[in-house]
Amino acid sequence: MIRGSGRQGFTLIEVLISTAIAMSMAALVVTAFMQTRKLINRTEARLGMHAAVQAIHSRLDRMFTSTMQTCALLVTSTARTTDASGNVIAGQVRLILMRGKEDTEDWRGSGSVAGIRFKTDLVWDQWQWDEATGVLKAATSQPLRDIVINSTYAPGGGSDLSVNDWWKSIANLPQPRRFLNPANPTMTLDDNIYFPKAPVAGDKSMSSAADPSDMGDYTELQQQLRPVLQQVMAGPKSTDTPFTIQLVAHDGTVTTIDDSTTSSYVFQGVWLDGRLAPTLGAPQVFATSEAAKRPKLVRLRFSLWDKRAEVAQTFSFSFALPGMAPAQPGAVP
Amino acid sequence: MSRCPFLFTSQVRHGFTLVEVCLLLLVVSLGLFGVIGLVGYGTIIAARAQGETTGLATAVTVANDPTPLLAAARAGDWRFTPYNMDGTGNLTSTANGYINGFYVVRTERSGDADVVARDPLTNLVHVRSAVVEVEVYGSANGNPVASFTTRINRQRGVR
Repeated sequence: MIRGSGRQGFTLIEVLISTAIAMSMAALVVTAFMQTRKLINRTEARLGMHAAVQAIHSRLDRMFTSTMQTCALLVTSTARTTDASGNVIAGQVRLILMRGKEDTEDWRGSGSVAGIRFKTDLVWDQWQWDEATGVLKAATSQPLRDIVINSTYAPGGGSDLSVNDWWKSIANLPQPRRFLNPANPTMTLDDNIYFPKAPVAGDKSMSSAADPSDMGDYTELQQQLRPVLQQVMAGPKSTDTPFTIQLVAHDGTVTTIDDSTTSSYVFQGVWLDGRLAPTLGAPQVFATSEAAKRPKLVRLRFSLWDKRAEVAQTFSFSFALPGMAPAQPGAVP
Repeated sequence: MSRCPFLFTSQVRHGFTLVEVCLLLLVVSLGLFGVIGLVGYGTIIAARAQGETTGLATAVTVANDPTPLLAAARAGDWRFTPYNMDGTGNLTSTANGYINGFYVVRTERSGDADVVARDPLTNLVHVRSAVVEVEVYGSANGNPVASFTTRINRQRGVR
């Protein structure tokens, strides 16, 4: 290899062989690197899904386990349709429920009733999935809201009102039972006895002129809606509806709500004293009561689809709601 | 003209031999594969950590509900064997299958002393309590990631 001046280099064969080896190695390394990167992306996406879902589960579990029997539930769905102009109207699934007490001081008292405290039990929750965006949103009504209260419902028959303005910051007061009109449940939500001064007659969703936060519960829930989970959509190979709620009632009836059909279900609250009929003198029959129709179990199934990482995962959770054992005729312990 | 005494002698310039180049490529490639392998192993470890996030939530779900609402692709794999509410002795109900990316095994046990409400005329049991144990695994032959034990009231006609 040394000629003349003594300068040494690779022969053509050597260069070709080393280049071939280098290219083979590079191809192997690049392939391994790409696969590893794909694996990392998929794992990262899957971990992100599980972490987000864990947070959702905690919030749902807290909500369902604190739901009281006196609280009403509303579940609605809108089917994906196409209108006359050919525009696609996306589907939607909603769950609204009134859950239990919040240990919140909701009555600050006035000169005559100083120090009196009440518990709030009119905290509403809403979960809403929109097919168009694939976003799951949630809202919780504020336990403390500035309300121009109707003096009829104030302690002391209203004599304590209008003393000072500062103590008008109160929360909702307990009601023995919440009942929603199935024909127009969202309007019933707004038809709260604490919002009697709506500027538009008959529309309790409107804020009063006295305070901007003095509005109906449903209207406030809509304002509180925030995204909590994204990419709630079916993967390319999935045949499932992306977001499905299934309610199992105490009488065994199973109701499935998803965006394949338009539906609306109202589950009324039961009486605080546990009676099953409007009057105590009436026959107390569990099977035909509102209590038997209330859900004992809430099943929730949703699919997450990460397009970038090409990861799809379906999650399914079941939540037990507080319930009443059926008072079967003749049943004894 | 080079004056460096350490590299050249008698103006003869040396390069790497083919063997040296091949060895160098081998060492570099091994190093790269090692790094990639470590990253992959770290990813697997991270994947196992997902059991700490939703594993317990899955266990609670299956404890509440032996027939959860599964994806169509997984529903056929779910096995549930209930017991007879009116049966006597030690009753056992089992359920197992895949849910939320985990393999779950659920066992429900109830005895004669666990009957809460029985109709004396028909002798039908309307409510009985039961102990439920749920084990959550990474896969059918995988490592356990969570477990949950509780006592429930089983109501006639409702799973």
